Amino acid sequence: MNKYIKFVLFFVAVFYQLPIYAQSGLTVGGIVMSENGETQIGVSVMVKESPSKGVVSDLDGHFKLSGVKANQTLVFSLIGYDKIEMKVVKSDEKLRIVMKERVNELDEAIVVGHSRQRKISVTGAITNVDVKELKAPATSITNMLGGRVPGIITSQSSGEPGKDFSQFWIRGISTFGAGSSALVLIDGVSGDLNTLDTEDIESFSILKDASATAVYGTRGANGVVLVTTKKGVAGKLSVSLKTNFGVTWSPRTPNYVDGNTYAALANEATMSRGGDPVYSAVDLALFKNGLDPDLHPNVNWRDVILKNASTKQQYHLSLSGGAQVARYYISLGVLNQEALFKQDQGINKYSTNVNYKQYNFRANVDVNLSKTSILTLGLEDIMVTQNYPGYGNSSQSLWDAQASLTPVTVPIIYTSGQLPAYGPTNDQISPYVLLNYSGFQKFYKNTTNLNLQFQQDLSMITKGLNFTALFNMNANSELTTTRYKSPALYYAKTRKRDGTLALEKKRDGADPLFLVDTYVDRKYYFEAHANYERVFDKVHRVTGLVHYYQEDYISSYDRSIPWNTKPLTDLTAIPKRYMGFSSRFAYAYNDTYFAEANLGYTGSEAFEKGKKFGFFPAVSAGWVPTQYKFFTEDLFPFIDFLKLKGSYGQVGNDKMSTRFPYLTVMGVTGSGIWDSGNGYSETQVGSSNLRWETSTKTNFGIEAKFIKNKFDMAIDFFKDVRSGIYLQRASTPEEMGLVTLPFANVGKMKSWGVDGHIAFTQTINKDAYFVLRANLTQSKNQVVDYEEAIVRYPYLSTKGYQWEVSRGLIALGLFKDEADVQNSPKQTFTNSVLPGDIKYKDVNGDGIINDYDVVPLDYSKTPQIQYGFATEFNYKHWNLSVLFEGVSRVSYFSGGTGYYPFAGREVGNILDIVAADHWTSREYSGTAATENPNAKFPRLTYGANANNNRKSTFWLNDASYLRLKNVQLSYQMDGAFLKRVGIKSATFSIIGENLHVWDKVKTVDPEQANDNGAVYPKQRVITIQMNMQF
Amino acid sequence: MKINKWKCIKWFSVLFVSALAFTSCESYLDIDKYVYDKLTIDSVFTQRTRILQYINGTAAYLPDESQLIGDWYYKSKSPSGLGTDEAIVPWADDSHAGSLLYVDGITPQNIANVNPYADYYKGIRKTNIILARIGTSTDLTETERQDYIGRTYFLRAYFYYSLVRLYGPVPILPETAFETDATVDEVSFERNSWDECVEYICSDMEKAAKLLPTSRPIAFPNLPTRGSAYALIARMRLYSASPLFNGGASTVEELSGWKRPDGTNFISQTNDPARWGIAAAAFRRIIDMGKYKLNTWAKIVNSKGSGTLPLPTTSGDVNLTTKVFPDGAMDIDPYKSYKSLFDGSLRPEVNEEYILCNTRSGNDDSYYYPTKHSGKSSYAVTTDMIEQYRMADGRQYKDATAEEKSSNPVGSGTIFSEDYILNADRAKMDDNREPRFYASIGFNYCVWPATSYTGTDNGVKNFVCSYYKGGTSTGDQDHTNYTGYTSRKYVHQEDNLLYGNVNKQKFYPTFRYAEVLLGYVEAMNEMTGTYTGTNVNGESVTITRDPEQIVKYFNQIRYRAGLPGITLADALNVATMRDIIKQEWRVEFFNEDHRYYDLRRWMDAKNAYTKPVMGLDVSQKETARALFYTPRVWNTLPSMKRTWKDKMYFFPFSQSTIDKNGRLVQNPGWK
Repeated sequence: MNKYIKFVLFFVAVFYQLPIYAQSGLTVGGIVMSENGETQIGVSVMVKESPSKGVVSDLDGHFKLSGVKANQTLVFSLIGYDKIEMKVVKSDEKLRIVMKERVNELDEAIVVGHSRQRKISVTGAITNVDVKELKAPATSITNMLGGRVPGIITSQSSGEPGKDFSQFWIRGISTFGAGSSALVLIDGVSGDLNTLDTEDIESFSILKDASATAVYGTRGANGVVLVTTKKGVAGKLSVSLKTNFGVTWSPRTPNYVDGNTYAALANEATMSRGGDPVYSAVDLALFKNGLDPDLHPNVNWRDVILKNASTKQQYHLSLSGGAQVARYYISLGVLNQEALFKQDQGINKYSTNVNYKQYNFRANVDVNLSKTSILTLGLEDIMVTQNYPGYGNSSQSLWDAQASLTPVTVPIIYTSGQLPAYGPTNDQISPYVLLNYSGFQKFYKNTTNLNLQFQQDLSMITKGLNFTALFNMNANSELTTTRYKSPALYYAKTRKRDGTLALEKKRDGADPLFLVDTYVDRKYYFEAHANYERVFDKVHRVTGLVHYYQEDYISSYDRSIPWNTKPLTDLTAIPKRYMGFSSRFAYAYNDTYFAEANLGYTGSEAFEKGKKFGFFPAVSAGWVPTQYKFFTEDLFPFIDFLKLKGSYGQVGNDKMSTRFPYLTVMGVTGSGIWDSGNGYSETQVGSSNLRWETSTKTNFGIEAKFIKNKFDMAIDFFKDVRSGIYLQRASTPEEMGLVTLPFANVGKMKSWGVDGHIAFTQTINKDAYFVLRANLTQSKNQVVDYEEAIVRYPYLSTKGYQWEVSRGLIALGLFKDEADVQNSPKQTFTNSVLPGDIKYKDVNGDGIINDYDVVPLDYSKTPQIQYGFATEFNYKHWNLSVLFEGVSRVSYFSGGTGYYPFAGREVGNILDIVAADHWTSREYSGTAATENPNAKFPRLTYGANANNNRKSTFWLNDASYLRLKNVQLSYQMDGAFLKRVGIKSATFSIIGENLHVWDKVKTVDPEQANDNGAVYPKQRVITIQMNMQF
Repeated sequence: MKINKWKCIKWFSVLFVSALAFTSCESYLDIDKYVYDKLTIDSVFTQRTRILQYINGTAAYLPDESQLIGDWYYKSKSPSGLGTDEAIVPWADDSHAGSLLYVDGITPQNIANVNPYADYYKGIRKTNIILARIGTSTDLTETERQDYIGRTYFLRAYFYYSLVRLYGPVPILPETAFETDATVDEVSFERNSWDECVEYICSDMEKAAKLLPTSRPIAFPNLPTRGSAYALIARMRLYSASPLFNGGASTVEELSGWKRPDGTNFISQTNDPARWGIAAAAFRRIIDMGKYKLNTWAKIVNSKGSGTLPLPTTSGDVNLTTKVFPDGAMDIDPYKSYKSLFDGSLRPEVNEEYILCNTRSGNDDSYYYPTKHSGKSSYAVTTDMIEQYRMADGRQYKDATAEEKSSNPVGSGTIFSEDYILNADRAKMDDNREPRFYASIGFNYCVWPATSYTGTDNGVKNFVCSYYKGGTSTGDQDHTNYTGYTSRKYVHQEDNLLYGNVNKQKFYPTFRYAEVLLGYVEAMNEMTGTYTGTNVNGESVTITRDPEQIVKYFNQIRYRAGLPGITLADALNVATMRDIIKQEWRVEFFNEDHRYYDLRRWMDAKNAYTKPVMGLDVSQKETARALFYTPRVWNTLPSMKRTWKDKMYFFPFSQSTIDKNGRLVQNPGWK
């Protein structure tokens, strides 16, 4: 169609241009093409200064114009395309002019499952993220989603380089089955968002409801993230370079008491329960005056192993260009992050600091095989190199050690030169030794990804039809080399008579040990689909899709359960395979009424024969009343755009914790006391009739623009009912006598909520405008069905409550006095309780406090609400953007080692808030004033206290926060000076991340509240960045 | 143009279709090629060896009853080893359920690792699978099929028996294995009554007995035989005839009102004297098999003076010294006759007393051996038990003279039965006792020969063990022998536990003929009427209380032990005889997992557990010998503070077991 129009235009233009004749002067000529390299016919080329002079590009897109004077401007124009102006400086007959298609707002397309769809016609719940918003210098795109993208709940638990990624859930957690995370597809193939370079992202969509995800069948229930990477654009070579340099530090670490205070509190802890003091008066004095650093050390371990700040750098270079035959996008990214550990120089020649280096290479090349077919080759390689101290493949042991080693336990090094350890096991070694004397470990990872895509326009069969086939090969390999060593470690309690230390060897020195571990996996993926889109009679738009795919994945370790990687067995070594067909049919009337049906028919090898495939249908509809003039002009003149949409359908989730649970597996056992040779027995009892879990999703959404398009909003209300959640039947009667517990689709859970965003754009004058944005995601859930043993009291049930809701006793404060203890129900966790211990409520009224009094409390540790608001202010070349992010309706229990004072006796640092605010008996302090009924900590105990140290409302805290997540100030230069040195534009930015947080946790970052400071803290980063376009 | 278009259509159709047909859907996702040759439950039953192995795999769920104590790294599946009045250990904790039970430390929430419930039902499920499928297998000969089915019935009955012994009545399940996707409701069953359980067990065992062979090849001494099926029936019948299950429950508050939802009692509340007859007939049947007899060891005569100890001549029982076994003991070595049942001297196939046995695990051993032999010596036999062992001439210990009961050293050592060494320093109270005392008990100055020791430490062989404070076998605080006595029943004179030394393999008699004799005597003693049943050949047999038979069969046990027999006068008095029989159970079956159940079935438990724990005063040093040998009450540790509550008749189900089956009611008294 388009071609015929162009053809006619060409003749018209030629006819028009006939009288024009050549003049002397410069000669310019070349070829005009579209962005994907198609030559453009009939483009009018005129000289701006003398509008009568001009030509039209011919059938091959060529043009030639002579007699142009220097510094005159050529104007290229074509209907439906942006005008291009170009100053002529010298003669050049090999110009390449790329015309950009002007996108009508109505025709703006977004990426949906297996195709692109015009934004207006989308009736499913799809968040299309503006990639510009994802341009902060964060290490992983997952860290940018929280607070920026409606419909996503995120949580980042570590700040360690290489582990500082966020977990995220689309619309919250909606299943308690084996997998609740979303399907991530990069260029159509499942991939890893964490190692994707954000600069390479072309589009980022989140598919949330059944209508959008039904085509993914059994993989789509937890939502789908669709990412496409950049492609080459025809035209001259365009080079873009980004470099940044950041300084990172820990804005918040828990404060521990020093040695002297520690010792005094330890004494109080034992003596307040009738024990002997741990430290004598002499000890206390020596801790204070520091005269005996060997036996009375006072060490702040965090200062010993941590620097104040660390750095990270990032570079990204991309090249793009091409012409008729081929277009390319090639990029190279480098990320280098150092951790905060302070290696003692001069001990080792190698580095033991945690370090994360990532190199990304990507090449996307499009080749026009014919006028109607394009072959795309996508190549990606990601290399990761990580460095660690020899002990452990993360810095976790260092964090544990600094949290558990008190200031008074051992010195950094004995003055006689020996290294200390207070026990033989790994967790009794000082973090200084772990960091500096345990050797080092290197982790190498390589990911190779090859995409081969063939697109064929099938207009010759029928207009609007095209076909795509994609083959993908993905290979991961990992290598971990550990050079572990261990020095001889000593501990001294006393001195010998001659005054030297009575050193006792706690651990022999070990020769360096070399360990190697490898992992590989491989995946291939094939898909083919045909898309159809055509408008009949100008108003009937019909869209169709037929899709087929298959996938095969094999790995050298079973990583199906992320926290428990297991060696392969003959069953887990069977490649994981998927296969599916899906289709979509959509109809739009006059861009006003929309209806869509989606169907997935997918299969998985995980289920038994005849039960491998399932249907996942979804329907949706939309209405855009603003298409009616009477609506916008008469009824609601302030509304510029309004769309109402709804969807309903089913999607599946086939993630399970076991492979092939339907198989009965036999294996060799003994014959027990019969001693009669080998036995044979079921090692897995097959469970019949297993299916995937089914998600029934309902969505209702409103999109609107109003007040001259200044406000732009979208809001979706959703409900997701998961049924048939796959559970091991741990609560079946034991009389069933099954050797292994079977699995069954017995769980049910519902989740519901709302997500949406609103933006306000205001232009102040021609140089300045600002944008205000806000978004919110709320997701609540409730367990509807859960196979559980008989519960004695309804509140002990999992059913009817939020999944993983915090459960604990209800604390009634601290016991006032002995009479209070006597007059209260018996607390059964310890033999006796004293005043100052936590008093609990007898919920069931049976006169005793035990585990039957544990009740569900408010929320879980996954937030129900996540929100963000941002502002962007532009003035001439300046741009300032500020992003706040927050969560609420989230709770956690303080507790565990590092929080409960002295729970590990001589192990575990004491928070300064303990010293400041705990209950002290009048017998110990000499005054009743210290028996503070509202103290933050109960009467101290040296050792475990089963009464106080258990989950209860006493320790329950609110982990809500509001974070100033990102502030970015940029200045863009694009003056003549830069042009002269070959730079199109340059942007300089200074970016601050995680600059402040408002919360109630205070001791540690609220996202890490569960870890009591024994984790790499979330970092604050200040980055300077430069982007240049050549 | 038109041609081109059709070409294209064709071309892409071919491409698309071939892509789809590349692999047809189901076959692409089919994993058959990886698993078709793996064995499934179906293919197991097509192969002879696999069927046998599947039955073996079922047997793997049988409890190892030779593990009586428990430790932090292995747990006894039953509280019965330590939960008696035979001995104490210093710990009443989760590793020692028996001790924890009798100090009332067990709760349904904390059952101290005694939770075999699910395992026994796993075994039961498998037996149901075997019974359902084995009939169609064509790979078995009829003899094999009979044997295998017999084994399976034996297993099913044994699992139920193991359940009811520990828990009392349990649910008897339908005989078809449940579908794996059965609902909770479908597989939740009520407990049957005690009598229903016993009938079910006996019925299965009768089926097993019909099918099982009477003996097994040498290679498989632990496999069940017809005799073992009979023996289990007899034991079950004896239990059911005993007071607790025969009307006595009505006198116990906890058990008297214990009813099923339909109003019937879990345990019969009325006495049925006929049950004793049934039990007696069940034992009689084994006697009549003629296959078993008490183990004896020929009298040892040698020139070294270390032969068989002379038999007592002052007892008044002339048969003892003048007749050959079983009418007397003149031709046997009583110590070895008894000792060789337990210490590995004899392989089971040559041991005609064994009816059912298993290879004994050595897990408990360290609690018996002295520290010098790398043991911990913390299994401490109470004075109460020690006093059950008679003097060599058959007098009760309590009737011994003051000098005989004194702490005075005997002053001279001796060796008897070739390898049993008596040290000169032993106290008179430990001297001149019946041979079973020396075979079973380790006492102060007991010699542990350890003759197989291969090392160089001169102190290991013929080690003289003493339990004084600072004595030769005092362990650390946690491993002290608190009574001055331990069990040597499963210790061979050659053995020690030192690293690198190999001990004799021992066999644990689950059923031995002595039990048949004693059970027969007990049942007959209690009989009041006449019982008519069937004998081993299916012929009618009539049993009545016959004092002569009581004397005859009871005295076999006595003579084997080198003790004078009872008289007809004793046998005529039911009450006298009852006491004699009970004491004989206690001594003959010391540390053989009988006492726990006997105390309960006789309803003697309350009396036994509420007695204070008595032992020698091991807090005394060797210099205070007399004080050391003065028995004292031990109540310094929680594990010594025994108590009795009527709920302890039956062990509680774990709370989680109860919570999973809504129809399973907890044993009475347990909360």
